[in-house]
Amino acid sequence: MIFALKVGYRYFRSGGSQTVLTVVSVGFGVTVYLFITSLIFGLQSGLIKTTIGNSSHITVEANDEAARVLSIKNQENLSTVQPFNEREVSLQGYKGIILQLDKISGVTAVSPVATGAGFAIRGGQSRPISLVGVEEDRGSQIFDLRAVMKTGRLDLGGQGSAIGIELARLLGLKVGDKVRVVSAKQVDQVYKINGIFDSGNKSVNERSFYVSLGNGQRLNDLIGSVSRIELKVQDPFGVDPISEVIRGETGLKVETWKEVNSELLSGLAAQSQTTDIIRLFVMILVATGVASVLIVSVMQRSREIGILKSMGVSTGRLQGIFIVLGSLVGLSGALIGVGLGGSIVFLLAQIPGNSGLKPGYALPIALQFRFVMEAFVVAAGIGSVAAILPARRAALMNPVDVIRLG
Amino acid sequence: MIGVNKVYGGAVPFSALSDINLTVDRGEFVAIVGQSGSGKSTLLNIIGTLDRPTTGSYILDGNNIADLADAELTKVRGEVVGFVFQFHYLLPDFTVLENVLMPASGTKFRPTTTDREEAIKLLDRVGVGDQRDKLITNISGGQQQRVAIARALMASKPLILADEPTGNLDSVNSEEVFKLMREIHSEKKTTFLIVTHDERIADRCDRIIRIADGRIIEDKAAVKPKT
Repeated sequence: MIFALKVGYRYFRSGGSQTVLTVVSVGFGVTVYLFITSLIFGLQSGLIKTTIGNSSHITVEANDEAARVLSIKNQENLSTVQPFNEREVSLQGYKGIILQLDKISGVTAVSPVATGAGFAIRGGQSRPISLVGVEEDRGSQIFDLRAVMKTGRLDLGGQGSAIGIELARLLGLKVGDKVRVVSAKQVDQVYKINGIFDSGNKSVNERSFYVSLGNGQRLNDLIGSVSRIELKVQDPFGVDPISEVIRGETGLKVETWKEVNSELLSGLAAQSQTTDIIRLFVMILVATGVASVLIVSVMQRSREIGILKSMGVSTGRLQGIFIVLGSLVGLSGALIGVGLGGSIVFLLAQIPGNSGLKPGYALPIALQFRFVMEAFVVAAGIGSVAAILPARRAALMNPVDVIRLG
Repeated sequence: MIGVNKVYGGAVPFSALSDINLTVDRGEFVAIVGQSGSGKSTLLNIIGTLDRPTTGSYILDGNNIADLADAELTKVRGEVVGFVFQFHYLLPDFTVLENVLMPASGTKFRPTTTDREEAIKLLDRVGVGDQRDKLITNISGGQQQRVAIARALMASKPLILADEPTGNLDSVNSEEVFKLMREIHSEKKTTFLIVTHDERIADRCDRIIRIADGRIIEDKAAVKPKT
């Protein structure tokens, strides 16, 4: 082992320009590897963050009405009752359910929501709105209205409300103004605008009209009940077992963000596969580079290999020399690549405004320590794997041929 | 060595050695002489276990070479045989001392202090002790050949096979390298087999084996046994 390390290291040191070039190309390979991995990870985690950051991870609703048959015993069916396609089913006894949900481990926020459609009317203008009644504190744990507030503040007390910035623009509303609201249940009330927020999502900004939970219940004819309960959990990707627990304990209809966003998730999975293919090609590139420099090295040193064999050096040790050489090429390339790729990724993550997405936002790229380690291990590992073939070739050389014929 | 034949090639077989019967005793100083292509180097390679005979048997130090697996053969070679080649074939990336220690480093876990001491003593003996920390590429051709001899002598190997050891040296260096081998022979009773086409060198060995077309055509004591 010491012998192989020592000789392999000397060979590496005296490798000359060929080794330098290979090390550099391995370095660029690792740079690409690191860059692609970080970029895709950054993009995906950014997307997931915007998707689940401001919305509920698990939504609990009342069960759909079952179709049932009205019949008199042993007689013909009288009629069949079918559920309405979009019939609103409200959640009765929600206060008890909230207490139950608060106790489930992994759940970080529970917020009852009373929601329904309506119109906001000001002067001759009316806009369709989505009336959302929430408790200020519980609601903010799901969608942090305070954090996105543009003007005014979050105060839903009394006839207070908070509306999206686009809705405010369309109706010409500013903080302090009053607006008339008519719900789909024909409840007509006047609200005062206490805050205008920008959620980053246009349709939310155009339609959202937040009121207190009590007002939401009144407007939507949900006295003593709510439309749904929204939850957040500690680990958004681990929602499935928690949703099972909730389903079991409450017997209600439970939907996770994954189920709602299955298209996004399958899109992300496809993107990950593409990344894997790119990474695979980079690995092949690194491997062929290392293998080629080793094959040349074995050829150049065939006489020395013959001499070592004539001195009684075993084939295992001879192979060891070239595997050490390959690992050294891989390792040094990895060092260069991690340094270069790491700096590029780090710098890109600092520079704002070059993403073409939104001015002021940095390229969604995230440098993770585990990617650096991964790139490092992959490059060094590939170096030694790529060395196996040339090493075997060296070990199988016939000393007579190489000594006599060179 | 009994009835050894060596045939090379597939489609057009070429017989490099035919029916060689040869015994070399411990402590002999033998020259193997012949034109290029006569088969003398093939013979040396078989003696050195770098090559195996096609037919016939070869017994080295009590081991029948035909019976040994490659790994065992490598081990025997490491213990018994030291090589000196026409070109020194030292490893250019290492120092003089490291080269001499190479047989020890290559076969053991690491060279021992004893190995080191032996190597330094041998380098002193062949007259390049003061060069031991230089890289091989930084010493002269004559010095390189001395280092090669020191390397072959490591681990007190009983058999030194030298293939044209002076072939690449000028007359002054040739003379010195040959004298060195004779001195070591008389000191350590090492068996020497020297392949050469230089009759002057051959004449100064104890025994001359002449080879032509793969056969031994003459095997005699030298006219002038010692210098």
